[in-house]
Amino acid sequence: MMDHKSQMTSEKEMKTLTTMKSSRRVIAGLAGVSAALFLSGCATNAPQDTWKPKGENAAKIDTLQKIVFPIAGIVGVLVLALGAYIFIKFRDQGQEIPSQSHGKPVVEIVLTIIPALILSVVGVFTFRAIFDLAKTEDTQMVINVTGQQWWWEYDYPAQAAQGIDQPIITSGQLVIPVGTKVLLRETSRDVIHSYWIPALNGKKDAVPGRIHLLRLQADEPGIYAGQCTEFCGLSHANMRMEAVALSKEDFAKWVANQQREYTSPAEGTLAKEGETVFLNQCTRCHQVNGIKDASGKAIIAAPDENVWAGAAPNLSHLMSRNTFAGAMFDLLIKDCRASVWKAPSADFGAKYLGGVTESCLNQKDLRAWLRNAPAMKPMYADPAKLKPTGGKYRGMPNLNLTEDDIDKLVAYLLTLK
Amino acid sequence: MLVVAGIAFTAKGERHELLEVAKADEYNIKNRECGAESAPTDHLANNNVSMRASIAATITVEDGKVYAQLVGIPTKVDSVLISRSTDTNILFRNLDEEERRLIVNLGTQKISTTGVVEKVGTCTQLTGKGQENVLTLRAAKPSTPDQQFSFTVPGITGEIKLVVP
Repeated sequence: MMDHKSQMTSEKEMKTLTTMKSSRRVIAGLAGVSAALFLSGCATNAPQDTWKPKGENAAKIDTLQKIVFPIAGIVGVLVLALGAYIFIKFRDQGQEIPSQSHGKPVVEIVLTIIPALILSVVGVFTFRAIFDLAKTEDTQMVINVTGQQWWWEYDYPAQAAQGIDQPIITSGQLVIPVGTKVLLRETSRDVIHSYWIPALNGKKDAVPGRIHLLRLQADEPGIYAGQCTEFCGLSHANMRMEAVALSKEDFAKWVANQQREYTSPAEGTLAKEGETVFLNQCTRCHQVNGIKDASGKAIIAAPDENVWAGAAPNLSHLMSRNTFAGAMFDLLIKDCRASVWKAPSADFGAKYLGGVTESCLNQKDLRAWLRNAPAMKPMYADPAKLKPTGGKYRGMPNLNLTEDDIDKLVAYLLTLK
Repeated sequence: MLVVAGIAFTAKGERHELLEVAKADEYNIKNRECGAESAPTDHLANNNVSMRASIAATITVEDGKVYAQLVGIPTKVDSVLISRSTDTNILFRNLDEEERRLIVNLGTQKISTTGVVEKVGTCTQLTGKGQENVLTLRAAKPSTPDQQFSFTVPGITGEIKLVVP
């Protein structure tokens, strides 16, 4: 029969064993999470990588973070290691409580001066970067950027130096010439949004009633992905944007195309029937510049009467873009999209300016969107729940279009090159 | 002290000059021409502006000429582009000897129920020499070749084009 002392020892050993097993599980879990986080930094397909600057201002931020991160990292590791050493070395093992004392001037002075010196060094570089990023005097091009739940509008004022003699309006994709200092004048129609293309600059809030300035410059042609970074409601996560940088020659071609006058589809075509559906259903909110009704009267869309924020994306030259629905969906099928995104710099412009052809159109998502937009993207578009906004929508409602209408609309939208 | 003052002013109600302006809607150009003539409410405010961080553009009258400057751009411009249905604040600065006001002309609109066509736009109060005022506007419709928008100052030739794509 086991004596009392042996029994106590056995219970203690069991308890120690259980604690050790539990600790191992926690350590293994933490190691797993840490490894996953660490390895996520090695992702090759990461278009919003903040460590790969492709423009002047993003490079300034990159330079700053390459100074600040190592300093912060060393301090962080030292503090954590020292904390861990203290927690383990002096953990409760039943020992006597050591003699207690208060204050040690030398230690306190040293521990005040060292952080102050570190912060001063970090501060010098940070303030210099902040002032550099705020410079706008040598701006070469201006674009007004307006945020709205949950998409971005881009308005290009006429500016002779860039070959823009008539204003241009577009959405989803911001198109800029490479090597040009572009000033974005940001605002919002409804709530606070934040504009962020990590490869080209840091983030800047778009606030209703205010104009905030953000300078971008892209060094080489390509598409640079971004994301709204201020929580702005139901579809905040789906409020995306892309900046498209074109060579100066290709940008001139893009401008010329955007300023091309509207051409109505030929009589007797499916697209012409689609234009009629568009006039009946879509022009309540969506503008296509130059579109006229059967009597030849120019149609001005009235989103101010139907949409809470007062606007909806202008669909002129829709098929010159690669995305729709706030850049949430691609207008191109996967292979065609990849051929644009992965095109070498020299070929990128031609690929992008090719726009969306019938064979490359992502019909699946576009048709699903036309069939029932709220099912594709969370929006406040249920007519039964619009009391707080006086019956006005935030997002695109389900228009209950027939499949026949959708066929016609797709054919029509394809003509908006 | 502050709490008592706050309660007292709250109980007193809205500033009388604001109430008068709201009642008369004198700064809507459908109600009057917003010319150079003076109205009783034109001299109720002190015309000093503190909301400088929220302006999209500054329109200045100087030496009998009008010009605009956009936030972020150092050069003077003769047109201002704002996006549709967006609240926009324009700072009006009068450096002329005479009192001036800024008007924004946003075309016309037809009232669907009555068929009456009325002007759309608004104006600031008269603004004295060296004084400033803010004009807040929201253009619900885009400007078109048939409906061109502009900023004008009565008594001053020239205008600043307002573009709403």
